[in-house]
Amino acid sequence: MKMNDTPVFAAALGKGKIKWLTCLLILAAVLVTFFPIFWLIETAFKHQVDFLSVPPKIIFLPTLKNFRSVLAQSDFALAYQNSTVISLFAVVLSTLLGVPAAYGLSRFRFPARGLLSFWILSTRFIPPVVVVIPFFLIFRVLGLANTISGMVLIYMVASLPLVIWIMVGFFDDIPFELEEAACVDGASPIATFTRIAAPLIAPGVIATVILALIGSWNELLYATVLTGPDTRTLPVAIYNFVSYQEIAWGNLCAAGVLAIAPIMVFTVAIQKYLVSGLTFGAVK
Amino acid sequence: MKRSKISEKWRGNNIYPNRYAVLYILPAVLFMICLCLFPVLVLIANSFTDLTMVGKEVHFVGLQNFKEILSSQDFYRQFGLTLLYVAASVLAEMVLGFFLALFFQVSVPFKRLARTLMILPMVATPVAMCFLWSIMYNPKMGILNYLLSLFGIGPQPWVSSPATAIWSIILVDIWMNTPFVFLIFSSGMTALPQDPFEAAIVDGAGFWTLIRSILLPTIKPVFTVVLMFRVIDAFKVFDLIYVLTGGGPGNATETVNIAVYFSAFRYYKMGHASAMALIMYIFVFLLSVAVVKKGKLSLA
Repeated sequence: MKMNDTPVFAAALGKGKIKWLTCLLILAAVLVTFFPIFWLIETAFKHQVDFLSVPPKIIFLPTLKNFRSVLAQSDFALAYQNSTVISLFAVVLSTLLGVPAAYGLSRFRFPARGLLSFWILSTRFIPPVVVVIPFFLIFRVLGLANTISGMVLIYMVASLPLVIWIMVGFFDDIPFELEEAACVDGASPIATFTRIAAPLIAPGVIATVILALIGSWNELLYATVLTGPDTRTLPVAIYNFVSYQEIAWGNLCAAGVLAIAPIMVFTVAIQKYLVSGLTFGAVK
Repeated sequence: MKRSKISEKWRGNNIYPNRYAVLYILPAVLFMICLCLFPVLVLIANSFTDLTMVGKEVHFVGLQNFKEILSSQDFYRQFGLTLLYVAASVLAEMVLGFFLALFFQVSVPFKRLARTLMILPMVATPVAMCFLWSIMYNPKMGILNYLLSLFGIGPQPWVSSPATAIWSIILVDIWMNTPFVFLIFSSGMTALPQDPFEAAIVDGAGFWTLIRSILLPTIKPVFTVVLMFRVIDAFKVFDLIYVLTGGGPGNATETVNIAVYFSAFRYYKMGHASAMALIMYIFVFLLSVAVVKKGKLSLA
């Protein structure tokens, strides 16, 4: 069904005067959800005098001063780089391991498959505070604390099960007959996977990769406990921002804008895939 | 949840021998044993010790950590607060998300843009969003008290008073996570068959009858899944509270997760913290097993 058709059960909401009320309520919801983010972006471009004024100034002279002073801090640039490297590695590794695993779980029937599936699903339920304590102790012994590779590993705790789980949903939804035909024609098992099945779920992989990237990019707890000055990620850098420089709101907002900018670009650019990834992850 | 027809049809028909499944699955499973299973075992082992980061020797103390935790008033207060947080935020998110999804079924102008803007809170970096909210909550200069003053309501203390702090955090949680509920309900509603509703309309059913008697029962599976996800994720919340209040003022917003973090990384009582984390994990795990069984949710 197209997005523009109103389904029967909601038709009453789209008739005559009630439609205006519906539009108004949606507008209100959009305002409430988006206003804080809009305000963050706006404040990031304001001078100190402008954002401290009450009532808030709607018309003001925009400035890039806040962004300049944030980017001038070498800590912040380093954190940005660390976050990028750690998230990318964690997600690429998770995808390389997770997509074949999802294919195996979707296409084969073997003993204990149900148990294995449940275990993978259940890892999604582990509270991060449960994971971080043993990792802290293990990393101290292995010398992985305060390293990029350690952070990549711990971010895989969340992203690998996520990738497997969402991808099983995507694999289950593509027709099996193609692979069957390939098999009958004598394709090797590996070729069936790499040539037939994998290309079909490429949109799913994109959605999953973006979701996993957002998760790693945004994570705070693991990064707080397991990173040091050299390996600090973006959320930790933003957190420290406040502790060290009390009311530098303009800088803080600029840092926030820089943190969410890539996510916003992804969200807008591939909204359709993102939604399908989220829905598979949840409803499937 | 039910799988598509395609997968039902070939269920159990492997075209290639099972040994290939090992090839696909084993690497990921080995990684997961190291990353997800081994740490939990380490946690369990530590929960029976008096491990600290300052002391030199580690002793096996049996169930002492558990006894201490389960007999302390603090734990029940933290646990109660966690339950309150989960219940209040998830309830509000479910109700708001459901009605928003319903409104969004109507074709309105700029719907796609509206949806994009509404998704942003759930993907934006939580730390940044929490600081944004704490600026908005600022009693003197924050914009929320200014907006309230326009309606003649006096300034609120928000996160700086023990009485309102937890509710202010719950409000941020609702703001952040209602979009998720909305999104899942939205796609659930879009996929529904129209015939039952048309038949009911012919029989003279009104709007509320359609919603109550047909829509709600039909999307119940989606409802169960969203509820499960939200409840479990709400039990996992750490960053919101850590950034907005750090568990304070006093201990007014100290949930179990915050208490575990402080115990482990402020007081370095690793054994004690491990035991508390384990109790929390067992609780969340049992809860999710129950919901998975009930919602018939699985990977396949």
